[in-house]
Amino acid sequence: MELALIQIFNGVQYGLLIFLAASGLTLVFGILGVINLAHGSFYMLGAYLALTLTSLTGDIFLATLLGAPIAVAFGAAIEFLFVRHLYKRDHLQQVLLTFALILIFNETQRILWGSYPHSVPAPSYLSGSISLTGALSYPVYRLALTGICLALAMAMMFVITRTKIGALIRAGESNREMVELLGFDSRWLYRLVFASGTALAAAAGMLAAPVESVYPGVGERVLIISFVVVVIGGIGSIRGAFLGALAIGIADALGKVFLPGFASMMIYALMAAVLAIRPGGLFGRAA
Amino acid sequence: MLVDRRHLLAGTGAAALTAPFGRFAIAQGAPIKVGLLLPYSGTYAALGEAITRAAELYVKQAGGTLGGRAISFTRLDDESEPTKATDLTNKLVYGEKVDVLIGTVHSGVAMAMAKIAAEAGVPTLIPNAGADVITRAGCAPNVFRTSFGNGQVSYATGKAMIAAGIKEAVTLTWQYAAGEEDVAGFKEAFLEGGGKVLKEIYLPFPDVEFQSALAEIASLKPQAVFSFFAGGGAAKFIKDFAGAKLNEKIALWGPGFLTDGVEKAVGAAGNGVKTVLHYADDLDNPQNKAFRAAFEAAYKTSADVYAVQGWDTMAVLDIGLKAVKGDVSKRADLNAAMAKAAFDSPRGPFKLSASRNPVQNFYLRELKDGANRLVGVAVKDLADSTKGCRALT
Amino acid sequence: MIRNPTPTVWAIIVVLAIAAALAPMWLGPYGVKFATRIISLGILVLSLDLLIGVTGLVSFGHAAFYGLGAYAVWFVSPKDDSADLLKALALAIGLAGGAAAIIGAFAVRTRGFYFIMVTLAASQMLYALFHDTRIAGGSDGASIAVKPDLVIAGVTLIDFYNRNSIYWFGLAALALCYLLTLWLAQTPFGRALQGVRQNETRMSALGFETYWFKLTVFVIAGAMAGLGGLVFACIDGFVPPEALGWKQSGLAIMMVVLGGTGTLHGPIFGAIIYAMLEEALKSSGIVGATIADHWAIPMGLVLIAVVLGAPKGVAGLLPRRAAQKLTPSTDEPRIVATTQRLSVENVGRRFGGLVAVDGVTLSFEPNKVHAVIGPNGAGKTTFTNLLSGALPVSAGRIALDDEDITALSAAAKARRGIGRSFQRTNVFGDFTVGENCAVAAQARRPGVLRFGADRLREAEAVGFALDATGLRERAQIRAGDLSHGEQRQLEIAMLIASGAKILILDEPLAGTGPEETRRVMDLLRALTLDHTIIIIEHDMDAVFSAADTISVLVGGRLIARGAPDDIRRDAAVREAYLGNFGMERAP
Repeated sequence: MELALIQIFNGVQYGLLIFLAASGLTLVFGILGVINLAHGSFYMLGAYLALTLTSLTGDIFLATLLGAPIAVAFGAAIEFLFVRHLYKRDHLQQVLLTFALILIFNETQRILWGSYPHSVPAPSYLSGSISLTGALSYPVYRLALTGICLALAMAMMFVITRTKIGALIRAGESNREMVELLGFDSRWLYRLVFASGTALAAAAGMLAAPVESVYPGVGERVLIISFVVVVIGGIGSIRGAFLGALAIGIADALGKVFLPGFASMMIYALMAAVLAIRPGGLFGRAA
Repeated sequence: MLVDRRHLLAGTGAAALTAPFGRFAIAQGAPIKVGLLLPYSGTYAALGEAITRAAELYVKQAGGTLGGRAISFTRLDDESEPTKATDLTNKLVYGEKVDVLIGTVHSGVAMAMAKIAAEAGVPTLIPNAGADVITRAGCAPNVFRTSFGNGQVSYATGKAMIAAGIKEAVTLTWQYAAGEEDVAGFKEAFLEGGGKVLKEIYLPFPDVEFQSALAEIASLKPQAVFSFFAGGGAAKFIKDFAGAKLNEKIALWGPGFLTDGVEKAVGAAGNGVKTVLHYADDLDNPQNKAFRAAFEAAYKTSADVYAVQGWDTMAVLDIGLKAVKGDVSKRADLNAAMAKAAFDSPRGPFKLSASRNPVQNFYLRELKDGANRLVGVAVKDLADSTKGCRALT
Repeated sequence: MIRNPTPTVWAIIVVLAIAAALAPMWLGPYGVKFATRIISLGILVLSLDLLIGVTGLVSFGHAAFYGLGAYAVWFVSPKDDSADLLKALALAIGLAGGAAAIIGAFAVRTRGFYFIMVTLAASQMLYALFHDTRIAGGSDGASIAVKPDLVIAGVTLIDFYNRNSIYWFGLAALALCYLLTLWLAQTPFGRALQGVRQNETRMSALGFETYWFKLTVFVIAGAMAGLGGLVFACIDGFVPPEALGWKQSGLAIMMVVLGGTGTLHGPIFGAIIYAMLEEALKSSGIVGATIADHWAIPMGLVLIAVVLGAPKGVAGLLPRRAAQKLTPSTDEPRIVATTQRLSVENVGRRFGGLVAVDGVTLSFEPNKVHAVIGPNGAGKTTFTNLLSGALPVSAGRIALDDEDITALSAAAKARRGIGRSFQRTNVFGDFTVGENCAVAAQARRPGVLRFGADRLREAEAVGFALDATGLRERAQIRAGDLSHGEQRQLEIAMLIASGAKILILDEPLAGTGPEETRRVMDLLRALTLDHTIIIIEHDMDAVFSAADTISVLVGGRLIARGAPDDIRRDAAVREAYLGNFGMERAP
């Protein structure tokens, strides 16, 4: 029983990390209608930014603050150069183009940072561990990270539901023409959304860097799990992504211990189950 | 320097045309083509690079020639992608028509490669991939391994753990062939020695979310954990293990891949991790000292076990080529000579078993302050099983 | 609509095929193996185009069937002996097709992105099965010791030990698969698939069980991919579990998009170009060591250039065949035919607490134009949905002459001659006018496995519909290029071609100009010769001038029924409309 509770706690923690990575994807997908396979690369960008900036500044949070605007600029540039041409194209061309971006990003990473795994230190004031049960402790940074993820999730939901820019984003999701009729330049709205999606993925990569090592392909595992979260939550729904990520995290943690043979199928089985009951995901419109 | 030498050799080849044995002389003059099928991108890129560097260094130190002939390397990136493995091997064997094939790191890729190499008969040396079957049931007279067998390393690890007085352990690895082979080898030695395996935990490959496994380990309270991970996953596991403070009560053991290449990345979290491997950086023998110094001088970075494997691969090839005086068309002689290879490697005494897998010492090391320190010899001259091999020498 | 390639494209295909057939004479061993791998991928991408380009089903798990086909060879191969090729073929196709049937049964219920994710999930589960367990070699892959051969009566006909044998076998299989898919796409079955791609809802409304169409094509494509997998397994006798993973599926999609979806030959070109490009960029002898070392960057740039510069893929740069001309009209006089009487008795429909239609009793006399009018929210569209069977009734009875048809589905009602058009224009934009009518005519016998076209009867039905609506001159035009009014005419033509005798038209005049309005109304009057027309319309001028009877719905109830002049004078109608206007004008 105690083990199950600890696993649920683990699942929630893991789920919050996934949420941070998946939230950007659901925004970009829901609002821009773009299937972005390069989302994992943005996570990787964050991880390597954390590596470089932490070694320069000595603090992961400082690095994240510096890295976020870089990621935003990077996302905006990618949107301007490539992605904006895809809004009216079908999903297949988006898949092909963003796949091409992965090839380029991975190779660029290898040229810039090399192939060895690296580590990013947690700040000294958060480097200890707290005892959880007799035998098991939790690193303070991991707990702090959980708090940060939770705070970011709440901030995001506040922005989406309570602010003018959030209203515009929600309007843009359902009706691009309407936003333009109201006198807003949807091109900038779209660029902003894509850049925010990039920054969210990068932020996830940066904040997770101290608990994760930084290595080539670090973003790849994030990609598919993020898509699963997006589908479970309902495309474009932040609230859905939040619950979906928690569900995936908990299912994964419990599955590894109680259904070890099926652990790698767990998340897919969960997705299939959700889609069987709600074809549009938890908070999505039915397909 | 190298260019000049090639130039010179081409000259001798041309001059030899007029000699009575013209055809043979041309073959002697042209460089021996050595195909390197290794990962130069993706997760294992660092390993491929280390192996390549050591191999190139070996040839350079030998004056650019082995067995009297120049060596030219043809590199091919295998991306550690098994679906491309057969095609890329074909490219080297049939397209580039390499005289000797060297590769690779990823076991799945190596299986595909070894299969084609066995069919084609091209002399092949495996500088890393440890899939047991390659030198057991799937062995072939022209396929050599200069690294280790998965079960061999873990068997040695199990022995060392018994010797350290450990009676109860939990195993943890990824659910894939190498992981299962490692656990099998470990269990063989550990159960023989009277140990008890409390639980075998497998995580989906290549999942690096270890918290739930750590919680389970904490609840099982074993004396030690035997874990097989490598690269980024290994670094993350060591850090998470320490972060959960399990390292204060439970010893962390594993084959040396757990700590090699990630010593710096894990930092203080890795202190006390004990691993067993066929190499240790600080082995006190002249070959190792010379090799490390030369590698450091050439590439401004430290050699690792993968570099040693690359080096020894060329040493085995060197012995074979010397025996046939550089005539790679005498494949049977070349293979026979390589099978008898015995020399002092940076890793200690090296020879090949009847199924062409190294018979070698395994060393117990302890990770401390970013370096694997040699503790002692765990098992001396350990040979891997040759079970199922129908082409014993 | 997929048609036979143009002479130019045929020429390219034939030259490529001949060159390929002769290639082993000048290709070395590596060249032959490399080409065989492209062939196996060619079969995979061709089968994938059957899903993506023809039916509009983007599968991100198609490699699962390719991998299963490859593993099938391992399953039938004895430890130290060769397997029988026929057994290997049967298992590869059977295993892949069977798995496709099981996965497809769930997957084709979903659409769009959800379909992508469900197929991805299914293939990843299969990948996990082969990767994590030792049923076939586990993560290290499965080695086939001896490749299959075909021995009949002691004579070895084919032996895959010879690399040229497997090459020619693969090439023949690819050619066969290409011709098969090309033929399949042009059968009534294939035409229905293309209808599903363009507008699945419309296909259902026409009476096609789209689920079974999608499932059937999913199984065919899966089985074909299994054949490709068999070829792959026989090249080197090695099958890694990654052959059925998502990266392999993704690669196949890349090749299809690169080559051009929905062309069948395009994806094969895509596979050739992709493989050759990667091969060239990795060869330092061709591009230099620096590029070969970082081949992924130029590869990515080329792919981006293709997406942005040639959105229809490589095949989009080649000419495409135009539609064939229809046979000229037979100037036979039209036969006057009476239709059946559609009547409803006390029908009602509620949505939760809301009563949308409430106890309506009406009878529609044959060969007349009947209009149903009413203010917004009067329940008109719900009423037509009840008539056509798109919605089940909550109460009451619907009859055709004396037969009770209340419980029949929309498809079944369509087969009995009750056809409806939609409020929004709903033609298949990529089909020509003639093809739109042909797919509607096919709906008379919408069974899934129809491969032979009953061309004569079909042409007759199409010709009749085009003549009746005056669209014969426009038969070869893409429906998407028609004017709005013409599209509405085409919808009516499709209803006629589908054999509908009772035409339910939801706002056929919406968005048409005055000239077009007149033309459509004339058309409707002329159609009463052999049809019954029921229209829901807002254009009162048109309704009152052309309808024989008018029924007025308000708040879901029928408040009046009669000839136009009676309705004009009806007190209840005046109150309903004026009252309604009065309310709208109130601040």
